[in-house]
Amino acid sequence: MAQVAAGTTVGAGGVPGEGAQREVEGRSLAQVFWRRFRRDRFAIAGVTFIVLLILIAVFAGLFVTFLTHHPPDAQYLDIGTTSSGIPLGASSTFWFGHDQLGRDLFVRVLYGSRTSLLVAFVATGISVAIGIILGVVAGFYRGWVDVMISRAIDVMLSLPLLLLAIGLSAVCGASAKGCAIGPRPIQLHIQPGLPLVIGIIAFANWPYIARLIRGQVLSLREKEFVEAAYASGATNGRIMLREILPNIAMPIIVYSSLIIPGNILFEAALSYLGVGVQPTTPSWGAMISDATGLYQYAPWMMIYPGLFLFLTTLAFNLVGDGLRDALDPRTGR
Amino acid sequence: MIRYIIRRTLWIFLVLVIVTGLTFVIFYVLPVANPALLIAGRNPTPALVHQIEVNLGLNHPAWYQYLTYMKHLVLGDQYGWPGFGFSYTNLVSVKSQMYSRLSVTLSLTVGAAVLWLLMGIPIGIVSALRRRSWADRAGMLFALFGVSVPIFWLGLLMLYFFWFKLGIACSSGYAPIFNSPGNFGPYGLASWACHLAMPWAALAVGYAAFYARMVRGNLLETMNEDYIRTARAKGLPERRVVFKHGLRGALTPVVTMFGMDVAFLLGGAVITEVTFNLPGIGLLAYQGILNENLPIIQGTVLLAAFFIVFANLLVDIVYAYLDPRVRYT
Amino acid sequence: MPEPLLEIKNLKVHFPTDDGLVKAVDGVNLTLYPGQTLGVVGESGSGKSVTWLTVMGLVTKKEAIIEGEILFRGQDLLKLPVDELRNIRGSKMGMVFQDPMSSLHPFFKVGDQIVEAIRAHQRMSKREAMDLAIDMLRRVGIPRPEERARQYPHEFSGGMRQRAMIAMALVLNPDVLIADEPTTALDVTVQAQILDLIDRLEQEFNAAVVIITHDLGVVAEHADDILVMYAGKPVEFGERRDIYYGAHHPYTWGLLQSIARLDEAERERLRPIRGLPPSLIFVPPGCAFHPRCPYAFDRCSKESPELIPENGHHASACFLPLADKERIFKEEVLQRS
Ligand SMILES: Nc1ncnc2c1ncn2[C@@H]1O[C@H](COP(=O)(O)OP(=O)(O)OP(=O)(O)O)[C@@H](O)[C@H]1O
Ligand code: SF4
Ligand SMILES: [Mg+2]
Repeated sequence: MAQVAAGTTVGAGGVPGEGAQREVEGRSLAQVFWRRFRRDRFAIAGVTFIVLLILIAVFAGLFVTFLTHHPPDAQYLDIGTTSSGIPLGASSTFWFGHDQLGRDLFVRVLYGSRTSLLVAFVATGISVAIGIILGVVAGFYRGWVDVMISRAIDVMLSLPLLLLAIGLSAVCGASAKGCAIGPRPIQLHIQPGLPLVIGIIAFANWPYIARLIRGQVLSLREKEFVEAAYASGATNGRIMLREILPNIAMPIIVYSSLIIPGNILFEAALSYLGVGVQPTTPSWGAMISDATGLYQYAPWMMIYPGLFLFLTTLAFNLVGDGLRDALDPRTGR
Repeated sequence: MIRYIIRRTLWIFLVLVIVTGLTFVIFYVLPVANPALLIAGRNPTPALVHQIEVNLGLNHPAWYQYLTYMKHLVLGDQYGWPGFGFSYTNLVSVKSQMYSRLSVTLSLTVGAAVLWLLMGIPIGIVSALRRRSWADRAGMLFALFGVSVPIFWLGLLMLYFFWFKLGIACSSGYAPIFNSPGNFGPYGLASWACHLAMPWAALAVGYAAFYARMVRGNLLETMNEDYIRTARAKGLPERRVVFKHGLRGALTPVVTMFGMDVAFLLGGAVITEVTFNLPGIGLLAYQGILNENLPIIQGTVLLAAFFIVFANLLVDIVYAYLDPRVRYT
Repeated sequence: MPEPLLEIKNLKVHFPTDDGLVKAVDGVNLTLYPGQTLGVVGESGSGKSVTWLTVMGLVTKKEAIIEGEILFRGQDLLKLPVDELRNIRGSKMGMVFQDPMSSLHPFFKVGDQIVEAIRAHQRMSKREAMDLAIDMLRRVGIPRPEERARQYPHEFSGGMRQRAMIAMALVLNPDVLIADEPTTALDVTVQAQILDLIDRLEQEFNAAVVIITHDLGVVAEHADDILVMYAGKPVEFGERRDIYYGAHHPYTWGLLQSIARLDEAERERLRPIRGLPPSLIFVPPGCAFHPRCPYAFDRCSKESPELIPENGHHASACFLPLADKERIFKEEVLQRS
């Protein structure tokens, strides 16, 4: 067994136990990865922006309590809109101006970061989890399981997902009761709002991840160390968890980071189309939607939320690019 | 080859059946609203609503309605083949509405596609060949902007600045080339292009950015291939090495991507059409969804799915032609 | 002595990289005559490929710092304008690479790729060029060449692809053929066929041939002269029998002892050189081989030995006295290999 393992690692000789050897190699790979990433100034700028945004999202309440004293839902129709209902622009207390209901746009933009970040991490997390499970199972068991999952992926990729997402979102968001799926006795009730949007985005994304991971697993399971693990009597579950997953961790991290910007824009687009989060939930996409009829007179209503949305996707893109280049520097900057 | 085409055609049908089933489940089974109310107008009597329900077959169980829909789809209905039914809001045939709006989506997609190819591919090539030069940096900065900017925001900004503030662009909305029947003149063409210029640009920016990045990455990878070294060793001029041997390898995958992107957009460039108020397939679908106008939804979703699966087949055939290593299996 | 075809004078090729300056080639001197077969031997990373890629103009001043002279028929290739160098490359000098699987363009037909090589240098109609290409494919031993010319590389076996590569390199009757590990990626039986083919074509075309390899066994029957390289420097040069029957450098001895043998009984005696080749960024001071050399002494880590002719052509870069070299070779190396 030791002989089998020796073939898989560079610089064998003298290190006891194959597991230990690979760990050493793995750690140094992660170190190289991290060192390359740290040198990427753009990526670090992206990380900095995201950290700031997370702080803003978490402490948005503090801004209201100590700085603006305008809760996100408070309507200042008297001081914020003209008599004909046109919102007013920035002032010393309303830094980004008002929206059509006279609300403080600055505060709402701060709160909007919560929606985008939740989507960024939760929707991506769920779709990556589904993708990992299905991808690993398909690549590992092959045979009919693989055929089923691969066909499901193919079908998913052939669907007009944006239309279906808009539709599902609209149908379930049409009434506050939400909608029910399934035959009568065991119906699943779906409430409209952010969780539904997150669910839809997660559902739209897993096929890409599953396909990528399936490919990786297919090539990995031919490797010696997997066979060595078999030979040593490890169970399938253990091999998947201990041998395969750690080896595809890097690509998964990189790929997850690369789909985050798309997911953020997905939520913003749904909310922009009026089928995303509930009207009370601050969302940058929804704010831009509010501005569509008014942007000639109140351009700030679309400029500020859009700017934050743009900078956020930009930051996530920078980080994703940095991670990808750190993993595979050949085609990077 | 014959078997391949048969297999792929069967696959297309399977996907379309799944899509109709899925759409049916989402839009017929889930909602609580009654489409009969949509037709009946304001303050309908219960008897009228019931009459409409019977006329539309809504009194039957869901599976029966589905089979009826499929039957009309396959065999045609009073509006001809394929039978998509009629819109619940204006009682006009779905097929004729989709047909009249396809030209808008087609205009939007084709123009944008030309634009993004003309921007994305040259930027990608120059960036790869002059790696780390200022041109590369500028190109990649543009690409970064393009992949990050939300298209509806960009669209509104363009409308605000170019149309409202500066007055150098046409407003939103669509102007057909044939502005009155049979009248095709320079004026029609100009106003058509003027109204589409900003939608084209807004839609193209994101794709151009993706294509620039992809071409750059592919070309950098290809130029490291052994066969490029062989081409140089033969004494070919560098221009030929890059443009024949390098690009052939680098652009082949772009063909696949291009086919699929165009197909997705032909099924409705929803966001662009909504932002610029272009009455295309996407806007039709969007309005159908908001109105719970089920036949319109079914029709547009099915059309979009058809474009995707058909493009998939087309792209695979073209790819096998471009890359001799790929065989039909 | 005939006119030398190619003279390499103190060639240095250094790559600036993020991690430091890679001294891939560090002072190579060499003369190649028409009809001569030169074997260039060394472990992976010893600078063999870079040397000859530089000669071909495939490593350029864009990516590397290049010093020295490369005289082809008296003309310094390093000073030549790009276009003139390109004219020589492919017509006067041809190169065959290690991996025939990836060295042909997968999207173009084999015949067309050869035609392209011809027409890059000669005004000729496509028809004529194709006839020439087919004729060349026949001469490198490809059966049914008319048919094969219309096929794509993936329809060829590895050995056939390498034959096609050789056909492409030789089709314009070059003066020099450089074969960079032409057989490494091939089956053992095919290896011998390819080497025999190169041998035969060398006679037919009267070209000078450079065979690059990390296995001294590969060039044992085919090379007239052998250059041994280590860490970017030549460490021994001599005629074939000088090397096989009287090598002077401890590194060459190591290579001789690690010649791959086919039969199992012999394989047990295969003794690789201990240790790993040095990084070309931090080359050990003095004799670069001293950390791995079993015969190293004080001087080896302080001064760097020159490649000095000791016996006619035969030269080695090692401080050991000639008598010791001959004794050790007889007593230890010959005994064991
Ligand atoms: N473009 C380059 N940039 C940086 N380093 C390079 C470049 N090309 C080659 N090198 C380095 O130069 C060294 C010598 O490479 P070379 O290919 O000449 O070795 P070799 O003797 O041919 O070995 P092999 O048997 O592996 O082919 C290697 O360490 C390689 O990493
Ligand atoms: S010079 Fe010294 S270290 Fe170098 S090969 Fe000779 S004996 Fe060995
Ligand atoms: Mg080499």
